[in-house]
Amino acid sequence: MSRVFTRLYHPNNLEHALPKIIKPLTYGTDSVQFKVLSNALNKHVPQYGFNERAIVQSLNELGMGSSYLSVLGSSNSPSFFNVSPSVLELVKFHLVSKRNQLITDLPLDSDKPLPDLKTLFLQRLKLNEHVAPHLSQLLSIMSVPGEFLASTALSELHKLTDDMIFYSNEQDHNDFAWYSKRIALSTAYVSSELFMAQDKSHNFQETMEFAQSKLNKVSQLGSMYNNTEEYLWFTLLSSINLAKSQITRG
Amino acid sequence: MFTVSKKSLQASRNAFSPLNNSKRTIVFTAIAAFGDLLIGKDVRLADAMEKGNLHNKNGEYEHKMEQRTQERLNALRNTRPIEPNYEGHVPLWWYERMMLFGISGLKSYFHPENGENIVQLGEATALPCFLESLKRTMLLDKTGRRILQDRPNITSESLDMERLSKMDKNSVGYTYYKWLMKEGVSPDTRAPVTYIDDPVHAFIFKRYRQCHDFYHAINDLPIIIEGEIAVKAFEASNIGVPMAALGALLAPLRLKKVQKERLYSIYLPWAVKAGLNCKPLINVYWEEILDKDIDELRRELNVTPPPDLRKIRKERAKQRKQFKLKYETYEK
Amino acid sequence: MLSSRILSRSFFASAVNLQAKLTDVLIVGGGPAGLTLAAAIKQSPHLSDLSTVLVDAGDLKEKIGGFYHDPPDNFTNRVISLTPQSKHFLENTVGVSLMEERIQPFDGLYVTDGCSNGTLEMERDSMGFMVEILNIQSSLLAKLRSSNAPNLDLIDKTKVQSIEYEDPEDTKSWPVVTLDSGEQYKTRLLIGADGFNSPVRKFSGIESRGWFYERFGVVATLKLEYPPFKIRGWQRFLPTGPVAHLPLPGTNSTLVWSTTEPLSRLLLSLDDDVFVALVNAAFILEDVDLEYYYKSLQEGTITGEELIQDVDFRINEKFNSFKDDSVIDEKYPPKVIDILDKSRGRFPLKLSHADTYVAERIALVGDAAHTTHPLAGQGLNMGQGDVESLIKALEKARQRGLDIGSLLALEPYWADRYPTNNMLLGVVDKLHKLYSTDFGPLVSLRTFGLNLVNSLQPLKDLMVGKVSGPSK
Repeated sequence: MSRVFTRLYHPNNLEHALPKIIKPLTYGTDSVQFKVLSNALNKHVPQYGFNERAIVQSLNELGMGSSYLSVLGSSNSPSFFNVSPSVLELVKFHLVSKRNQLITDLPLDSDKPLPDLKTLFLQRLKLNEHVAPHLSQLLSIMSVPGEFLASTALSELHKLTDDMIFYSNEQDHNDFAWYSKRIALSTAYVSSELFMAQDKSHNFQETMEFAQSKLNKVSQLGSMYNNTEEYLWFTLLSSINLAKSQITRG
Repeated sequence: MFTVSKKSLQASRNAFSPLNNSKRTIVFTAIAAFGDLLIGKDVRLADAMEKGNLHNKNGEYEHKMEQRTQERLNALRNTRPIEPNYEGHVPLWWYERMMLFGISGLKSYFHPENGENIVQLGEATALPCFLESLKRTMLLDKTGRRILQDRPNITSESLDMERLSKMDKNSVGYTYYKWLMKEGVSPDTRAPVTYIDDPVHAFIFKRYRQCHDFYHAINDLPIIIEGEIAVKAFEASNIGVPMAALGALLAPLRLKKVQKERLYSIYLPWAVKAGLNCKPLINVYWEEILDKDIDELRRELNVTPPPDLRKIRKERAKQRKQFKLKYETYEK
Repeated sequence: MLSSRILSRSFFASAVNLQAKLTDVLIVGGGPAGLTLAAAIKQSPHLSDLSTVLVDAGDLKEKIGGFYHDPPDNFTNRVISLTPQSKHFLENTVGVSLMEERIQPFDGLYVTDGCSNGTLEMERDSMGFMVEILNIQSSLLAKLRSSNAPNLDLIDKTKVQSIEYEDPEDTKSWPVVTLDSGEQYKTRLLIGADGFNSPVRKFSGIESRGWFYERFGVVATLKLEYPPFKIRGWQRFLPTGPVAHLPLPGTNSTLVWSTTEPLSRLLLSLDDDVFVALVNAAFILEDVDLEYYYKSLQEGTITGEELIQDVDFRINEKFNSFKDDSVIDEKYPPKVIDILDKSRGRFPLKLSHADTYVAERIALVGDAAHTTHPLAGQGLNMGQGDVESLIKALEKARQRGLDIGSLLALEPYWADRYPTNNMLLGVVDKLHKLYSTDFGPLVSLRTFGLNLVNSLQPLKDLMVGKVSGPSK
């Protein structure tokens, strides 16, 4: 009886298999904003870079007026050097969609083994390839001190490293190493992206090698930390046992 | 005052009193005994006993003394710190090495055209740590190991200029020959190594010197001072010999403004980038790859040649001449 | 009701009791430590009347015991160095006669650094003895058999199925050991001499702390070109781990090469002659050469003959650079020409130290209590020291009329051995850590330290004295 009075014009969350909204974005995957931004990112950004021109081109292509520009991402406050809110929204879209793309195809439910951390890391760098000529512009937009850096850029970076570690076959211990590991990986990722911004080698070969060496350093750091902790713990317990053994002498 | 003088009178009287007399005798006796301990007859006898010269009655003693004087004379004649380790080796004392560095450094700065100065500075700065790391690079590579085993020597006979001139136009050998002819040099002008102590290090340094011309040839850089600086920078970033780095950093300071500009904007950045990206050049067995295609070699080594220096200079000279003519006719 | 409950309880308890055989001492594990303990108990005047049972899962009586009477011509690949104190304990206190013709006393140790020319040379006549582990085990078995001691049961080819307390709530009650043959033993004192994965230690709840070194020790029996000029042990600390070459009678020697896991797999997969060339190279050539060989073998860019030829060339080059040939015999071990067929093996290396060696009615000896890196050759000797100390503690307890299984009787053993073992484990571990790197400044520092120690004879005498006992 109560079923009759449920609102049928609102879609029921349980009825959809795929999530319609990717979390930090406030619009769904079938909304206008999504269409415009994804079109801009895939077709026009490689040519024009991360600026309003790319978005306007995309708008015109989809048959909408360029005044729609002021609607996109109007919630972003323009940063220090007056980067337009719509460009900030484009950057946010790029970060979120690439992160999402990384984890969509993973075998989460089945028993198949999860990929290596290295694989996910390099895959994410590969996803940057189509905007590679404009990476330095992207990084400079993200790093300008302001609200965007704090609320979106950094939080996306942390979400990315968290996802990479969570969705790989890395052992995750809920202790102090949790933070150190993620911060180390974030550092490795940012430096790899910076390298990629000026890399002109074939297929970004040098970036991949650079990323590999950074990852090796991260794991080295991890094992150094573990070994030191183990050693200190062992020495402490041995000293306690030594004292205990001598007390028994009486 | 009266009391002071009385005291001093007392003191002077005490100086000649019997107690003081015996004190002085004790002191003098002590000095005499101590001196006897150091240089007296007993000491000489004890020394002779230790050397085995005291109780032997045969003529051994004279013979031994003669031997000893001969040794001392030889040591004076033979003033080098160690034996030479290879043909042409002149070992140096540490202060001699420092003087070599200082003097040849100054001479090379003011007269880099004199090859001897550069050679001496190179050997003075080739510290064992750099050569050891170079040896390590060679030992980690299969071809490098073969070079160290075979110890090849590059001279005009070993390379056979006739054969090179007949080679395929695009081969390494012909490129080298062409460059030699263009610049008017021959591969024999490399001085032997004299001041490096370890024989393996000396060979590596000799090899480095002999292959210098090959580095010119594959990059087509001329032997004028700008070209030499560019090649030195290229060598410094790839091989890491300190002389090359010194040359690349200090030599441009004496150039004309135009040359400096050219170097800093085009050739030095190219040299550093190419040198760092290139595979270790010391491991290339030049004698074996003479018939290889030059472009294939460049691809394998991952090196791209810079713009042609002689052409750029010619262009600029032509431009200046044109301007000069223009203004001359104008002034007339 | 109450009485029926009591009756049923005692009936149940006595059912267990009826099955289990009573014994004073039950030793689990027939390795060198366990067998030494059994022999020592039977040899000691105060303890020889204790009923002793020794249980082992392997074939002690025929396979190992047979070694004594019918030894093979070749030497096995598990060889350890026995210190003079341990040998004295075995031969005099326990009364074992080891197979002398298979023992090689060595007169010195020559330790070098693989990244520089740091050297430490320690010399003393008979500062140690190279003995095969089977030699020790079989000699002990022969002694046990020949002594015909009463109250001694050697049960081999039997595994321990379970251990539990007679009264599960009372940890002071006697432990009951059930073997997989169905027999049950109730023992006054349970001794765990059963190695690193000791079930006795697990039962006792004693924690063992430590870590895996992620290194494997590769062992092999080698044949030398000519008998060595000076019979000494040679050890070189390479960055991947120390390689040790120890003398055996005649022109034989044994190799212990501790290296990383991938390299140990590589070494085991090589042909005999390539392996022999690498062993020679490890002692004579530089670290960069070995790195090159590992890399090219792993990538497959070099064939066996090329490697052998390269090694020979480099070694000759090095030897020719010496002006005086006699230095070669002094600084480098004799050339290895062959390796015994199928004698290559590897075992993982780990450090572990149990929190305590004793609990009520339980004592741990040997590898069950501690394991260490083989670079100092102390593992088995520590076990022998443990046995000696435990025997002393038990004798003292017996003389005072104590229950030998009580903690009061056993604790002196722990108090005596824990500091010594702790110190040895710590020193060996720190040596391993110090020599596992090729970081420039650290190498210079440790080379300086090593050369300094080498030039201080009194310090060397002290070190040798500590490890091998006072000089005669």
